[in-house]
Amino acid sequence: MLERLLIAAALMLFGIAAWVIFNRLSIRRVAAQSTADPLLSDLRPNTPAIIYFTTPFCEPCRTLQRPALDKLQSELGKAIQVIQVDATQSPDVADRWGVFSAPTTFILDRSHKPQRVNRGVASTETLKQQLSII
Amino acid sequence: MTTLNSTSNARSSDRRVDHSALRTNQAFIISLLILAFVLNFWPLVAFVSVVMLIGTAFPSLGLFKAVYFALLKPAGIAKPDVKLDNPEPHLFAQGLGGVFTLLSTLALIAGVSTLGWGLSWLVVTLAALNLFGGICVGCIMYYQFNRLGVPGFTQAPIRG
Repeated sequence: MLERLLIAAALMLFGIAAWVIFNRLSIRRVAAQSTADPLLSDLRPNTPAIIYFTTPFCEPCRTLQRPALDKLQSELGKAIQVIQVDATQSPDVADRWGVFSAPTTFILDRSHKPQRVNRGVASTETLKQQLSII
Repeated sequence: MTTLNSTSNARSSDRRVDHSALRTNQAFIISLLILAFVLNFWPLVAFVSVVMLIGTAFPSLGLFKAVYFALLKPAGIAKPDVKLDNPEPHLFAQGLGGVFTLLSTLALIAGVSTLGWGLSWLVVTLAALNLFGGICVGCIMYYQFNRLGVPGFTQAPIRG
């Protein structure tokens, strides 16, 4: 039984590690090419940003992610800017940013370099916490 | 005002889903399947499969959700998280998981343990992706089938 317990623990650790490494590598890849990305050309300078990928058929985007972002924007005002991208309208942008599911949110620092990615719904508190440490 | 984009005449009061109940369900599935693997005890996989399939066919009889509604919620251990949402995609996701765990059970009974436990771990992975990452693969499939007009997949995403 101990052997199987260790295998289960190893599989869980492997899953978590694979997820973390995958996200870090995708952030690194996106960060390397983001400086020239036309998507970021209209951003206000020296202001953190969130790039929010959604689709018209994304249920949690409508019911959870959008309200969370609206709440965040109402609380932080101009201290934050949000760019919404419909992945079905701009599949090339979604590909460039390594998006494979919606909602996906990228947290960009003041120099508009991607620092974090949330695959799945990110709550207002999570986004606030991520913005506070960049 | 919220409007519904749906082929059925579902009322908005029917379109409420307690996501805490869903998370409780996922937590039970993950915990019990991992426990089954550790104990090398296929009847536990069969039990999870039966609970999932019954909970899909008769949502009010879902055992893990019943634990939430009868124990965790009244005791204040888990707080309600009611959202405007379609229950059908979540039921489909659960049914899909139930079928995988049923196949897992059959493979384990047949002695094909690698396939059997592999299928169980697949269900664990998908449930964990939903629980921790908010990505419901079954729901994505449901809405894609709805978009393609597959019969039975009647609920389109709710328009806010």
